[in-house]
Formats: sequence, structure tokens, C-alpha cells
Amino acid sequence: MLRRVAIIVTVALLLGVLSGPAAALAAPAVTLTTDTPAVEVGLRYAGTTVRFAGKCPPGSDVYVRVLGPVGKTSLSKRGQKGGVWLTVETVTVSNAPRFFWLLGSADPAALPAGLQQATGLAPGYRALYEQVKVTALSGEEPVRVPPREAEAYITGLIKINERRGLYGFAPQAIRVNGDSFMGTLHLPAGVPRGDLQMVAYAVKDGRLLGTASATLPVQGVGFVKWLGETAQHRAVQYGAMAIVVALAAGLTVAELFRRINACLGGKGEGELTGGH
Amino acid sequence: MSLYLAVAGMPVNVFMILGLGATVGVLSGLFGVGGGFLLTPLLMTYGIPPAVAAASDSNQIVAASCSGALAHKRLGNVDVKMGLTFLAGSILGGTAGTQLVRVLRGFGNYDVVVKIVYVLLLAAIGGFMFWESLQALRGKTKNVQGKGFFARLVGRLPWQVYFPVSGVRVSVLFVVGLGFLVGALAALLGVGGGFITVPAMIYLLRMPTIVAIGTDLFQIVFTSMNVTFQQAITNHTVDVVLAVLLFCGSTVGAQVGARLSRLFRGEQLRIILAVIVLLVMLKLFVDLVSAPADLITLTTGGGGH
Repeated sequence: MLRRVAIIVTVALLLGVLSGPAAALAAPAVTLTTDTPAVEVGLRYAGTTVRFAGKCPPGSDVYVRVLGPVGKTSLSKRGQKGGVWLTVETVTVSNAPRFFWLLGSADPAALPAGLQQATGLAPGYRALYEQVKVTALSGEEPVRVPPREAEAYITGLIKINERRGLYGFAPQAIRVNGDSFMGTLHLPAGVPRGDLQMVAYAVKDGRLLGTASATLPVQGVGFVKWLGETAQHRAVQYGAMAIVVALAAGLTVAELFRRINACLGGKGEGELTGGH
Repeated sequence: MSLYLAVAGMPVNVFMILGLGATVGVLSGLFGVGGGFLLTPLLMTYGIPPAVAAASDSNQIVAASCSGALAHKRLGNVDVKMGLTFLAGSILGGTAGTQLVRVLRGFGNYDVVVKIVYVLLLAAIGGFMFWESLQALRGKTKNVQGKGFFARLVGRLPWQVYFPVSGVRVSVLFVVGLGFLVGALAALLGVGGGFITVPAMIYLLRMPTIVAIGTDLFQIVFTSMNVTFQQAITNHTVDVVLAVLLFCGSTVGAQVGARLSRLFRGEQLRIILAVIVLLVMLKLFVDLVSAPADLITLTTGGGGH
């Protein structure tokens, strides 16, 4: 009897050990790829569309969240003071992504709240309100703005970025076909340079079945790259160059017009004194 | 045809920017104003980030004012001696004004007062210039600077110097003092000062209108160079490509403006400038009293004239 039990347990264990990897191999993993390894921003760049595709478990819905590099933005609030409208406060918004798009094959609003929270797929940019920091200057020191006021600034920033196509929500942008999915992501002309982090989530019956991620670098090339880097990292040379170029242009055009005027036999120099 | 701007981080239509620059350049050459009051809001409407619009505008003003000042210099309209004396005062005044702003910001309604003072100042300058020029056009007055109490007082100040291009004898102390006041006022109000400088030169220094315009352009070259450099090293918001496009238009426009100015008499130029000052005042007034579409906006940088 004891021997029979031992044989059954051994067989069961062997089946368990062997069936694990086999099952894993059989289950379609979630993958995510883009049709271009990087987006190159040159002098003629005016926005582009990136196609992405991947594998997902059959019958699942797929959501893709795209986040750009985080940065600081200065925002001003207009308010009424003494009967007139003017800037009443200026704040710095930090840790906000410069690009934020949420795409899906279905509306993520139907997902369980816990899953929305864990994946950052909550509609209405709820994830942003938790991660973004809003500070104002009090004297020389930056102080954190109270949550209710901070919320108004974050909402304002979201509106500004939505208008510029940098933030968005597209619940029907991904098409799932069996065990694969595909979609498009429009990158507007003002897309920030840096890495765009894309994460795909496969969800079925409210359960997360798998995720996959991809990085899409948006990088300046040629003159755009050189100019952007010089402005940021060699500011003194850049400032001097800006002045020299402007003075040279002013002098050149002035000389050009003097010659044109001379050729056309226009009025000579110093002919006019004007005055009252 | 579009071109991507590395610092602004967006593409622009080349011909649109050239056109904007040319329009502002004509105004600059005609009236001696930098054009920042017009160009920065136009660029922002086009979608250029506010800080980049203001900083790049300052950069293009370097080129436009340089081109315009040279054109006026050839026409004998720049009083270099007067310009440098005035500039010395306005730099000192600007520095003092900037420090004063820090102190005044500690008081509650400083911003409200500044805005209202600016609107009233523009209304007073524009209104007076309009009335005076209208009288002159009607031939009711030949000279607005009679030998009144103020003129006699100024005439008694020490260090009287003759400025041959302007054709005036005035105390260096008065010129530096006036430059100081205009510089301080410009810093307090957060504006470049072109609207204040030209009328001050015409009515208080008794310079001929066209020489006041040429001399103002001459000193704007230096002040805008300073603003451009400061913006480049502090905020990294000067977009050279945008500025180049703007000044390709504005330098040509400034030349055209300077030559157009020969078609007008002094009082005609003053009345057109008065109308522009009054229109700017009106726009500021409307902005102050009407509720904005969005309460939260991107912060605008400084600069402009």
C-alpha cells in the first residue's frame, strides 16, 4: 500500500515538474515591438506615427501606456486682485511626464479599481495626481502647495498638454486579433526628446495575464542635436553666438540696403534730419 | 515649408515667421520701438512656448535694432553721444529698479499697482502725444517745449553739454537722471521701455522725433544684447534658429521702416506712435478687466521691448 502511494506521489511530482515549463511554453507570452527602433528629430521633423504590435493571450484586452521623460514646468495662475485680473501665483510642477498616452482595445474604466491603481491604467490621469509635485516659492525657499490647490495646477497642465497632443487617452486605438495585437501612436511635432517608455498590459476577466515593455528613444539628430546640446550645456558660448549672429545679420542687411540704395540712386546718407 | 526648432521643440512655418518678423521690423524702423510688445504674444499664439518666445524675441531685437540703428545713423538720425549718456543712466536705473522690485514684492498689492500704473502711464503718454501731435498737424503749435518753469530749471543744472546731432544743450546730469528714471521704471513695470524712452527724449530732452527714434534704436542694441545673454545662460530659452528666421524678416522690415520714416513729418510719426501706444494700453486694460479663458497657463519669460 505504502509503495503504491509512493509511486503515485512520484508520478504526480514528475508530471507537475514537467508540465510547468510545458504550460509556460504553450501560453502565449505578451510581447511589444515598434516599427522603428528610434524617432529621429531633425530640421524637417513635423511629427510622426509609430506602429506597434505584439503577442497576447487569446481573448484578452490589451492596454499600452506610454510615458515620456519627467521634467519641470513653470505654471502661472491668473486671479482677480483689487478688481483686476493678473498673475497671482507662479509654481513649479515637477515629476510630471512630458508625454503621457493611454491606448487600449477597450475602456480601462471597466477594469477593477485595484488593477487600475497597480498598473497606472486609471482613466482621467489619476496616476498623475499622485506622482506630480507642485511647489511655490515662499521667499527664497520652495514650499509644497496644498493638495487642493496643487490639483488645480495639475489639471491645468493636463489641459495644456492635451491641446498640444502630448497627453491623451484612446480606448479604442488597439486592435486585438487572436493572439496578437497592433496599434498606432501619433507623436506630435512637440514630442519631448528622451526615452518614451511603453508598457503593454494583457488583461482578461479583470485579471492581469502579462506585461511587456519597450523603449522608444526620441532623439535629436544633426543640427538639432548640436544646437539643443549647446544651448543646454555650453550656455555662455551659445549666448555669445546668438548675439554675434544677430549683430552680423543686422550689419549685413544694413550694408546690403546701403548698396541697394546706392545702386538705385536713392537719397544719400545724412540727407534727412527729421524733427518737429 | 516647415523647420524644426531645437530649443522651442516644435516645427514652424518658415514663411509665417519671416512675415511676422518683417511686420515688426517695419514698426521698429518707423517708430524706434523694439516690437516685443507685439511679437512675443504673436509667437505665443502660434504655439511657441512663452519663455522661448520672449527670449528669442530679445535676440531678434538685437539684429533688428542694429539694422535699424545703422540705417538711421546713415541718415544722421542717431545721437551716439546722447544715446550712450542716456544708456549709462538707464543701466544704473535698471539695476536699482530690479533691486527695488524685490523690496516692493514684499508689499501685498504690488503687482496690481504696477499693472494699473503701467496702463495709466501708457494712457497719459499716448493721450498727450496724440493731442500734441494733432495740435501740431493743425498748425496750432510750432513747438511743444516752450521756455516754461521746467525748462528754465533744467537750464540751470550744472554740466551743460551741447549735443550737436540732437541740436540741444542740456545738462549731462539731467540726461543720466532721465535715463535712470526710465531704466528704473522699465524694471519696475517689467517692460523694455521703448514706449517710455522715445516720448521722454522728444518731450523732456527736446530731441527731434526722428533723432529720438534713431537714438532709442541705438541704445536698444545694447539692452537687448544684455537680455539675450542673460536668458541664454539662465533659462536656456533663446532659440537661435527662430531668432534668425525672425530677424531675416525684421532686419529687412527695419530698413524699410527707416526709409518709410522719411515720408512722414515728425508730428505725423508721433501721432501714429501715439495711436499704437493707446492701442497697446487698450489691450492691457481689456486683459486686466476681462476674465481669462484659462486660469492656469505656462509662465511667460521676461524680455522684450
